[in-house]
Order: sequence, then C-alpha cells, then structure tokens
Amino acid sequence: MATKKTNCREVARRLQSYLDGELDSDRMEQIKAHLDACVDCGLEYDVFAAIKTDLSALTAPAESDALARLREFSSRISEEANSAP
Amino acid sequence: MAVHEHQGPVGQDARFNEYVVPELEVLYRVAYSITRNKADAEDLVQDTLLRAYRAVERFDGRYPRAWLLTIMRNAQINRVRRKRPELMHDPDETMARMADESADAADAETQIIDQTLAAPIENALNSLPEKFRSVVELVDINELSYKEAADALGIPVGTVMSRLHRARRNIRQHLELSSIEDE
Repeated sequence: MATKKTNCREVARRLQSYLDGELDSDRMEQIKAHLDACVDCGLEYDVFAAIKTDLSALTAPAESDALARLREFSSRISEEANSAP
Repeated sequence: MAVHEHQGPVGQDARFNEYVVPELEVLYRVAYSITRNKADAEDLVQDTLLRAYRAVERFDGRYPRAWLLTIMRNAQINRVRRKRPELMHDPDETMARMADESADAADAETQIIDQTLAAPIENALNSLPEKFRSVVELVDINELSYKEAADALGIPVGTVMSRLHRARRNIRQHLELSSIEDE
C-alpha cells in the first residue's frame, strides 16, 4: 500500500522545526524524503539552512576571563557553604 | 528516577559539579543574550549559581540545562524588579526595554562603525525587534532547543517557534533587499 505522501504545504509548515531537529524521527524522515524529491521545497530548505549556518557562525567566543571568574565563583560557593558553622 | 535524600554539603557539591558547572558557558552566553551587557551577564550567572547551589539537592537530575535556565529567568525577573519596580507589569516587555536601554547607552559612533563592517547576516539580525532577536540568538547562535529557549525567556514553546520562524523570514527578506541594493 502506498504511504501517504507529505505534501508541500505540510513541509512548509514544518520546515523550520525540521531545520532545528525538533521533530520526531518519523516526521524527520518523511520531510527529508520530500525535500530530496521536491525541487521547490528543497531550494526553500537550502535558503533557510544557509541562514541558520550563517547565524551559528556569529557565535562570539565566550569571554575566557568571565568564565574563569565564574568557575572560581562556583568553587567558592561550595567552600563557603562547607566552612559555614 | 533516583530519589535524592538530603546528602549534606558533600553530596550537594557533587551534584552542583555534576549538573551546574558543565553549563557555565551556556549560562553566560544566554545571560549575555538576555542582558546585552557583560557585567550584568556575569552578575546574573553568579545569582543563578547561588540559587542553583541552594536548590540542587531537590533537583531530580533531569534536564539540568532547562532547570538552570528557569532559575536564571527567575533571577533576572527579580533583578529587574529590584532595579525598576514600575516596569514589572509585563516581564517580556520589561526584558526588551532593559535590553534596548543597554543598546542605547552604547557609543553611537561605535555602533555605526560596527554596522558598516558587520556581515549582512549580522545587520539582518540586528534589524529585528528585541523579542525576535533574542529567540534567534538563543536557538541559532547559542544552540538551545525550543524548550530551553522557552525556559530562558519564560514564554511557551509555541511562542518560541512562531517568533523564530517569523524572525527567520524577516532575516531572509532583509538579506534579499540588501543584495538588491548592492547591485
């Protein structure tokens, strides 16, 4: 029996969640199959995937000084708690 | 699911080191997205760490990042309430206004130079209203899940999704317009 095909409208509705990996595995597979077969939806996906990739590249390196201070603060919390009467 | 009885400082430290310390970098990044100010971000993380330490013995061990982001969100609301009690009618609006005020305080010349040199994607992101930009920063830049972003911002997952999707469409439009103007 032929399985019900995922249509373009449904893919458009779920494309962003697919991009973020926020769908269950069955739905991810259905949409992937549609994107592989449908040129228009595939191009739409490529555009948003490129935007997401560019955005993720904006990651500023976390301030190493700030992180060092926060790690030290974390250690101090427990030391102070343990030394409290 | 393990049931954790009161274990004293040693157990408390072990749980703090297991669940909280590995999330320090994420906490700092998210705090910066929320406060838009390095000093405030560090203060907010410290506040979060203190609260987490006190609460870690009662934490069930599931989804530590989501748990910590909820603590951070509550800590931020309390910080804003202490500073600006009149703004607490709408926490969402309050967060946006606090962020906008920080941005306004930045040196205008620096902002212009940054904007000129920034990549188009960064300009597109900066063109978004704060409530949309913060969702994009949390999910696309800081790689939080929808649920984690919802916990950090104190909004429903559905709102994270709708803001994120609208923000990306706006970014796309912005990029398309930029490329036309460059031709």
